[in-house]
Amino acid sequence: MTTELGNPFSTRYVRPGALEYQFPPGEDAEQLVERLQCNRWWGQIVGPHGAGKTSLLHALKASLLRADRQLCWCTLQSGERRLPADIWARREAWNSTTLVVVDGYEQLGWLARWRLKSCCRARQAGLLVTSHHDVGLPWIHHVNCSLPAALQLVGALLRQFADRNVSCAQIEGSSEEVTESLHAQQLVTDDDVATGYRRWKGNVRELFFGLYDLYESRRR
Amino acid sequence: MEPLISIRIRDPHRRFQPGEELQCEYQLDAVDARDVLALEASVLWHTEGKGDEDLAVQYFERLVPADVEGRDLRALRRLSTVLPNSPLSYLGVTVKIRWCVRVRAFLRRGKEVFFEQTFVLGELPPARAVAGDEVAVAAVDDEPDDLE
Repeated sequence: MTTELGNPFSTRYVRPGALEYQFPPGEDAEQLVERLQCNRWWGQIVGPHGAGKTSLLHALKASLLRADRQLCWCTLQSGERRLPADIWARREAWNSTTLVVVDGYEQLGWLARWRLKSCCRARQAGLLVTSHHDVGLPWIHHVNCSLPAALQLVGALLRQFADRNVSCAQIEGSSEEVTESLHAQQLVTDDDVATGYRRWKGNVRELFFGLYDLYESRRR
Repeated sequence: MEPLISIRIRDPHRRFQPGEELQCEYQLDAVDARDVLALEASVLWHTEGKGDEDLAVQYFERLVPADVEGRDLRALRRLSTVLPNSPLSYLGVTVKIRWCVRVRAFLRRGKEVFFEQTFVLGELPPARAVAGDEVAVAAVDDEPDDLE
């Protein structure tokens, strides 16, 4: 074949926003945004490492924009105790339509949290944060990816991967690549997902990393 | 119906050596000409794997209706570029380097569609996972918690 197939668990396919968020039955983005609005646009999304908090934020983005929120988005990395300077420098422009979104709020030191909340309050801006634990803001959602949801996510990844490769191979008229694309879909089973889910205690990010390796080891 | 983008690289094997010229044709179809705001074609490499992705663009062109005859961006277009010495295509286990031609169309109401056609630069052999490496998910299932 001309170029080898990729890996369905590559970052480009599993990064937040690339994969549709699996809402629990009976919930959707509009409902969560409504809940946030009822709390005067203040709220927290809480969940353990790798459970899908960032993915949920991305899934809410379109609904937040439809609700006329001006998003001021900030993703904090491990050890970032203060808001990035460029975000903080723009605080004078915040107003009642601004929604400050802080992904990884627990990274901030207490002084930075206090200053951020004070500033949002003073400027009547909203504040939506993700955190690993309760940080005292109104609850919007508790993220916890269940095993059925993880199975659905993996199923969707494998299907999309196969569809993408099969359609490319068909355009090029390569029956060998069509066969290989379909075969690739069977390299990871539900049992593998369940085993990985238990192994990483529901951390879907780690599960995807593990399945990436498993896929590489079985494909050759 | 979704707009269609087709890309055809002249060399049917899609394998090139550094310094060779890549020639390709691309076309946008199944969309009204008035709905196409801009068309971008690029030749680029990107990494793919478990970590953050890296990317660099070797060739880029952006066209808007005013740039072309009849203001119709759907006509068959050609591009050519001389490929650089590096990075070579690489199919590693943790990271891969892929070269591709990417065509992106910007449509009305903020809609975007794109399509990529990959090709190979150089002749680096693919890396192989070490035999017995299938431990990432399966074999550690019974590992006690205190060893994790």
